[in-house]
Amino acid sequence: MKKINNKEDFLILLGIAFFLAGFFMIFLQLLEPSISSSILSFGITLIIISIFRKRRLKKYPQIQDERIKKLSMYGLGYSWITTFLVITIFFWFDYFNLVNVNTQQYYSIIFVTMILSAIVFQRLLYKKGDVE
Amino acid sequence: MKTRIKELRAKYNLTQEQLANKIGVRRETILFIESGKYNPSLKLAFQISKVLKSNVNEVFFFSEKELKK
Repeated sequence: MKKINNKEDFLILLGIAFFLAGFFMIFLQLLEPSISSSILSFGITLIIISIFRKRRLKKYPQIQDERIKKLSMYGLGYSWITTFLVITIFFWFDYFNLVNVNTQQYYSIIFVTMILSAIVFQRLLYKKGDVE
Repeated sequence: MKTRIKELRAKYNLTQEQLANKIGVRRETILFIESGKYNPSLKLAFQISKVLKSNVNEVFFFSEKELKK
């Protein structure tokens, strides 16, 4: 059996396990659909993050770079605020019956906004050089 | 903040890549520090100064105007 090389490979496998577990739970209707879809979403998120991390580590083995750490943290912070704003907007749209959003669509909005905004903010900050 | 990294790199015949590898950061970080777009932490400033065989205040310095801000 092939040995698992590093943390990222382990996390990818863990993500696949969560994804498959969530998929079969939905397929076999073992648990509440929202719980099963959360497990499936967690698996997908873990796989995507681990693959990005693995690619980045291959390109830049020096992960102790303070600038990248700082900018990554700021990127995640901005992403959190963006997601919060988007969710707040959708909440009020839903409240005034301008848009009808169900739980599954909320999950999708959070999922897509968090990942995309984090990537966009981090890329912008990496290009800019610093947050100040 | 202004730096003399470029000048000292030339003196010791070091490329940005070589300096970055000695300290364990990305080349882009050295590039941004040299161009004054990124202010390094005190630890990184000392590490750079050590590689460039200089005191930290010989490598990094602020103008009077920048200090008053």
